Order: sequence, then C-alpha cells, then structure tokens
Amino acid sequence: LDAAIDDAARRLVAGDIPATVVRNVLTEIREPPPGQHRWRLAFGAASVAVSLAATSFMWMRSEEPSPSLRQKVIAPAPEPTVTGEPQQELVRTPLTSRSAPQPVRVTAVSVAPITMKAVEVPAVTVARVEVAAVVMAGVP
Amino acid sequence: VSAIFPTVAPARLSLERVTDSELVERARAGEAAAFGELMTRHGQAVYRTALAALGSPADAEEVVQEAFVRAYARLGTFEGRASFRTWASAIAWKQALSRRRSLVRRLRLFVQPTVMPLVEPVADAPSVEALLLSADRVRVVTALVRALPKRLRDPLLMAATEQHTYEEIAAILGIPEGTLKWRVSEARRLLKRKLEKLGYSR
Repeated sequence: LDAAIDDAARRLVAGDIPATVVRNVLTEIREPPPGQHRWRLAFGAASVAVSLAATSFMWMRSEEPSPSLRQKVIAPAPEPTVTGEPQQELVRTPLTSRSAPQPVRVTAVSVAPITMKAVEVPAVTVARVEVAAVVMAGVP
Repeated sequence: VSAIFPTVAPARLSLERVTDSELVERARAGEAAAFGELMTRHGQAVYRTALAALGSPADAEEVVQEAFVRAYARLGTFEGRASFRTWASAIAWKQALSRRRSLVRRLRLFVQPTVMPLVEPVADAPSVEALLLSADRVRVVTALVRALPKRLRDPLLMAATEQHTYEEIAAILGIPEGTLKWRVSEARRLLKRKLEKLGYSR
C-alpha cells in the first residue's frame, strides 16, 4: 500500500514547466504589457492618495517631453488677435526638461490690451504660455 | 608575436556553468537571459509546487507564470538566505493558495465535481481483471489522496514532488519541520486505513 500511495501522489504532481510558460515570462519581463504602465500609475496614485489624473499629469511633467508634446509646444499656436502693438517673440528654454536646454519659440503677446481667441491646448502648453506671458510682462 | 600567439577573445561563459547567485545578480542587472536560465533550472520544482496546491496543470501553468514574473519584479528583495528554488517556490505556493481560495475556482470545481469510483476488489482474479483492478486501485488511491484534508494533502504532495528537502518544504509551507513530517506520516496512515476498509490489504 505504501508503494501505491507513493505512486498515486507522484502521479498527481508529475510534469514539467511547459516551454511556452518560460517564453511568456521572458516576453513579459522584456516587454511589459501596455496596461502595466497605467497600472503602475494607478498603484502609485492609490498609494499617495492622489487621483489618477493628477498622478498622470505629474508623471508627464516629470518625464522628458514626448516628441508629440514638443511638437505641440513648438508648433505655432493659432495667431492671437492682437490690437495695438505688433507681436513680439521670445526664445526660452522649456521649464521641464531633463535633456540639454533646447530653445523653444513661443509666440507671446504684447502688453497692450489684447483679445485672444479661445484656444484649446493641453494643460502643459497652457502653463508654458502663461509663464511666457509673465516673462514678457517684464520686457520693456 | 601576434601571428604566433593570436589573441583570442575569452569565450563567453555559458550560463549553464554560472551559479544561481551569479545568475540572480545578472538578472537584477537586467539580463533577461540569466533569469531564463534560472527558470530552466528551477521551473520544474516551482511548477510541481503549484501543481501540488492546485491539482490542475492549466491552473499550475498560469500560477507559475505569474509567480516568475513576480519573482523577477521582486529580485531586489531576494536576500539569498534560502536558495532561489525555495524562494521562487514559496512565491508560487502563495500565489497558488490565493488561486485555490478564489471564487472562480470553487465554482469551476462545483460544476465539475470529482467522481469517486466505487470498487469491489475480487480475490484470485484472472490476469485481465487483475490489471483492471490495479488500474482501479490507482484511481481509488488518487481519489483518496485528493479527498484528504488540505493540511495533510499539501505536505504529502509536496514531498511527492521530490524537488525539495523536508526543511525546504517546511519553509515553503510555513510550518515547523517536525509538524511537516508528522503530517506526511498521518496522511499515509489515514490513506492506508481507508484502503484497508475498502478491501485493499497490500
């Protein structure tokens, strides 16, 4: 009976890890699934009790601006309608960038009374333009 | 001189010759192939550990995959007090227990209940019947092992994997080694008694 018990127990746990499992694990550790990035953000947000949107925004600010985002910043924004003085231009470096300073051309507005068109731009771009406008305010 | 003694780049050491601790260090540094070698070496032990807890190869495969991914993510916490095999098996064991408790699995088992075969052993049976009886006995013993209480079945099956020492199994299950040995012995005693009641004396 001892042999029968040993045999039955051995049969229940016989086998080896399939090669596909090893391959899947290697694939996963080399290329994390697309959802993992978002999951990590969600986990981080939960751990510091901040909303996912806020965490995503802060994450984006801390990261190297993506080419698409840089394009948005550099690309000429829709021309504001300015009354009075002609437009001035300012060359400045991005506020948040880990790479070497890179000049970004921002179209600024004059200090004269102006009317700007309502333009929908990403939050980061808005922040940059606002700061640029503040800088411009001190320019004679 | 270079013509007589050509400079030959030292051959890259095969991963097969590298120790587990070195592989862990290399995997920590981001070398996925080193982790692959660790999986190749200890995959069987980890897989059988999961199988001992779950009893289903499909579930065991999923758990092993999750366990290895988790182990890779937690390599930084591996202190080397236990072997990599024991450490990874312990992760797989916890994952498997979590899965075993999950509602989905319970429902699945409910839909597909294990059928206990009823066997009437016959004395002095002809050879064909003896063979059938033997096959029946295997099924009966298997069913009896499955029907054991978890606290006895887990140690018995872990010992049957033949991949870990008693000390390592005790560490994986989180129980003292003496308790583990007693439970294995108790499981055998219980099985023998049930088999004898069914008419199997040898």
